[in-house]
Amino acid sequence: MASSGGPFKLGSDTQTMGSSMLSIPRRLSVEPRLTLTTAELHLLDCVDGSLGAEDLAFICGRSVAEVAQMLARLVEAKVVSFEAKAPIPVLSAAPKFGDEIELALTFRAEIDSISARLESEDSYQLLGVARGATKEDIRAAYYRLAPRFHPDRHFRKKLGHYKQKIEGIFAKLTKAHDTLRSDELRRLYDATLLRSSRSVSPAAPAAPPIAAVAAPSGFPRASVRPAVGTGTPSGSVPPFAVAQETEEQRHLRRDALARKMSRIPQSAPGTASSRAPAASRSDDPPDSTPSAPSCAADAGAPAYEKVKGVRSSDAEIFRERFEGVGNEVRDRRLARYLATGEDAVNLGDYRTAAAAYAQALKLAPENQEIALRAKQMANLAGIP
Amino acid sequence: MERVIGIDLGTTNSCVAVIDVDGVPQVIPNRGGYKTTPSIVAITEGGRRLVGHIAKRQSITNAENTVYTVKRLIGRKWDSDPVRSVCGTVSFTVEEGPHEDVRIKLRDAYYSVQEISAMILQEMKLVAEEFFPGEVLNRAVITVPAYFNDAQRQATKDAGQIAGLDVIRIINEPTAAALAYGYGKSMNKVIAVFDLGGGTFDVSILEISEGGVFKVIATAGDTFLGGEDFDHRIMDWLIDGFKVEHGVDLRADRMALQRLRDAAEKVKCELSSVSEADVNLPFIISHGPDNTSLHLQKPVDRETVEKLCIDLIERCRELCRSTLKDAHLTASQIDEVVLVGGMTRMPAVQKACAEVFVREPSKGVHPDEVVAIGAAIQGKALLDEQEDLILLDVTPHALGLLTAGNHFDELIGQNTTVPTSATKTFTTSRDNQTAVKILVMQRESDENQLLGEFLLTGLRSATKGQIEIEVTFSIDSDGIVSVFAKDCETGLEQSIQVTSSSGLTAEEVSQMMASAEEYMIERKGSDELEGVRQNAEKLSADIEKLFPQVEALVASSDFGREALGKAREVLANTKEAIEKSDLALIKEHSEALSRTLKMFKGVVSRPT
Ligand SMILES: Nc1ncnc2c1ncn2[C@@H]1O[C@H](COP(=O)(O)OP(=O)(O)OP(=O)(O)O)[C@@H](O)[C@H]1O
Ligand SMILES: [Mg+2]
Repeated sequence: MASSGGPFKLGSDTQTMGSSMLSIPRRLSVEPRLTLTTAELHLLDCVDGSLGAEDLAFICGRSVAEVAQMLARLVEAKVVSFEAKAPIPVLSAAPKFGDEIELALTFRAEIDSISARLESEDSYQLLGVARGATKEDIRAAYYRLAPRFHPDRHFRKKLGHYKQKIEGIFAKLTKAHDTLRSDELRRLYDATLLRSSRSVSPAAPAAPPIAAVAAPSGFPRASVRPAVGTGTPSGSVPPFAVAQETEEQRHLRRDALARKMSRIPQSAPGTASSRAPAASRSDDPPDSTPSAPSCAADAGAPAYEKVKGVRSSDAEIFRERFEGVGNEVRDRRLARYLATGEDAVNLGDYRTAAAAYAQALKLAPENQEIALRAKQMANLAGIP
Repeated sequence: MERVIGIDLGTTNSCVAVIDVDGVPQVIPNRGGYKTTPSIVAITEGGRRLVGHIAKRQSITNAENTVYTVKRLIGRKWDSDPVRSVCGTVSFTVEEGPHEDVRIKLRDAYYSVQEISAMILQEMKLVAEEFFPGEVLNRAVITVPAYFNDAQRQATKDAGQIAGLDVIRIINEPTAAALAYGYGKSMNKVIAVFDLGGGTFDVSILEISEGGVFKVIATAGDTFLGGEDFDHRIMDWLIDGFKVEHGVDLRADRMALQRLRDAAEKVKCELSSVSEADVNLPFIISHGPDNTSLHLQKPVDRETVEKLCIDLIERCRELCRSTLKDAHLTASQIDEVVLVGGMTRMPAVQKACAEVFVREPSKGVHPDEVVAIGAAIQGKALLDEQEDLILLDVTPHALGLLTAGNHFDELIGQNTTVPTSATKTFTTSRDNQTAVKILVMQRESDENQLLGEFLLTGLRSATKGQIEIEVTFSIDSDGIVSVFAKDCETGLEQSIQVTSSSGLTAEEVSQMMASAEEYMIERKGSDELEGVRQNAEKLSADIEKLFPQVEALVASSDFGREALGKAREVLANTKEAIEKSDLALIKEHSEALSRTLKMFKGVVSRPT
């Protein structure tokens, strides 16, 4: 990503923009050759004058820091602007009032400061030892530092987001220690340090190997053996379920087992209530219609099965809850784009009008009127 | 501070310990005075539940309803080699449960493996509570073999929950032993823990640093290598020899098998201190048309047993070597070797251990008790802010995800210190793929175990390889695995917290919890009844003893006769209440009994 916007610090700047709303200026005057990344466009689509950086981060499913960085560039390019309101520090790591985090303030400050340095410092700096440190120095430094940042020190305390921060620091310290205590790893590490300090633009870290993720068909749900696995010894043992059993047969058999083994008196077998305990975690629903419509492209892959013991994430629950709010926000945004478009037409600024109607069309793709208007404006503005 | 109990839930024996207020570890003996309790549960003909020594004692006569070695079954799938192997050797009935899990049949009821483990845990809790009268001890740290996988750990946690315990942490047995070894001493050492118990083998290498930091460097093990396997070798040898000699297969007879199992273990233990011992099983089976009794009487020497078990010992040795390699250490860099588990009393095992580590093992710890003590130490360290000790353990199994072509792509390696996290970028493997399934796997030896799966949908339709997905794995200090996947283009994300299925639904766990609690209340009630009954009987007996004497002294007066009549009435009422097992009534009559006895005593001691 081109980072012409310059570094956007998560410091005082962020604090001022914290609670202010972002909007797209009525008269856009942007650098004609400006191009935006997909992520930035996605973010821009969400800017409607009613949302702050944090809300935007939430809607886009990105971290606040990332969104802050993108916004910084967009602001600089004058694509969006802040509608300044009373600056309240929201984005800063400073604890909100009454956050109930059971950690001393001084320790929180220390955690924050180390967290901020975590990416930029090398392993020696993190452990606070010199480049030429002996193994003994490294050992002593690690054992002095690491335990302080182990979550067990704060067992069953409310740590909020500090839990992750502490774990992050601990993991980094451990990595640094493990690397520097091994002769071989240390030699390799020292070599990379040397290289990156020589070259002007730091060499990008080797991209992790990219592998393909797929839903292998016919994947057994339990344990996967390598293709050349030895078969199970047969014959020597009590009767086990035959492998060639249809899905339905297996269901029936398991239901029967559940009934047989329950020590709680059953009502009529097969009624919904008597099946409940067994069914809740077993692999129902038995039908195999793909549950997610977005799987359509994966027609060949097995249907997504409900997973045992897997909780839907907080983010998911949150997103669902947000959907209602989302619709309302969308309507408001639509109204704004249309107003912007109308204003621009009156001013004869067809480019802006075209952009505004195009955005509006994205929000209401079935609306023929908007589609027509968008096309007209695009023609007037000379956009193909 | 509330006490935390440390429980070593062993395959063969369980042990419970606490750290007392002055920081001294204390192993708690059971009623019989033993510091370990056999991990055996039985249900009697009358439906009574027995746990521990008392269950072991009746195991020959009630073999079908006596359960042992459940730790070899916990958290395992019905359709797995270990379960098959246990099924083939045990005397109780094992059947398939509704969730591909294992259930045990005792009398007419089926129990999950977790429930049986819970009964043992409940017993250990009781042992501790009896030792500290008036205290309720709910908080516990429970140990598991270091090489246990996620499902086995989760199942052990469920067992704790069913037993009504607040399991504040599950820790690894060899690590616990190391804690007990280094607790309260300031040292700077690299130690190896060699733990060969009844069911499992674990070896761990740790660095202990001044300031009480215990860092595990590497660990390995086999959850199916232990004393029982040694016993089976001896049993098989005895059975085969018997067959050659008498042409009779002892395997068909459950009672004979149970006796053989006990005899094999006994002779194995004896051979640790003497070089020759006898197996003596008279009337092992009756045979032939005239039912002739056959006897199994055979001398066994140490060398024979060592030969029978040579590959088992070799496997231990091999795991030690691979752990040293994983730790990037040579044997000479190990400062101390700690032996844990009953099987390390076998001279051949000690010799093998001494050979790989090129040093004699440390003598300072008790092989049967250290693990429970270590668990108690960790419990105290977690809850007591004054305690500086900290344990840095590792994940024994690699974690990763399954990619196209069933390829395991590792994100977190074996022996990584937790908490930890790792991120890797993946791409789609087919054109126009709009969803990816993330299959979270745990690698165990050469097998991959599915921990959980989820779908990331809504990807842009593109040619394969264009869409990038960032996947992050993390393990927190409680060992909980979370996985997080993000579409780099749209920022859409999906995540799960992996709660490995232990084979039971949440409803089942709470049902089992309720019935375990009910049992506890009943049992406590019956304990109380027993106490009150005994007291009432004693009072009655004392009164009856004094009766003739008192009668002779007071029967002449009306008042005296009335008092004697009342006393008779009280005695009769008490007897009736005892017959009815009516706790409240016995209590009521006991008061009357006490008054009567006091009066009687007054009468006989009055100077005439
Ligand atoms: N003197 C001895 N010589 C040989 N073996 C012995 C001796 N004493 C006990 N054992 C064996 O040790 C085993 C029990 O050891 P221990 O109590 O440490 O196991 P556990 O903790 O129950 O099992 P695990 O740790 O594998 O779950 C049994 O197989 C027993 O036969
Ligand atoms: Mg043990």
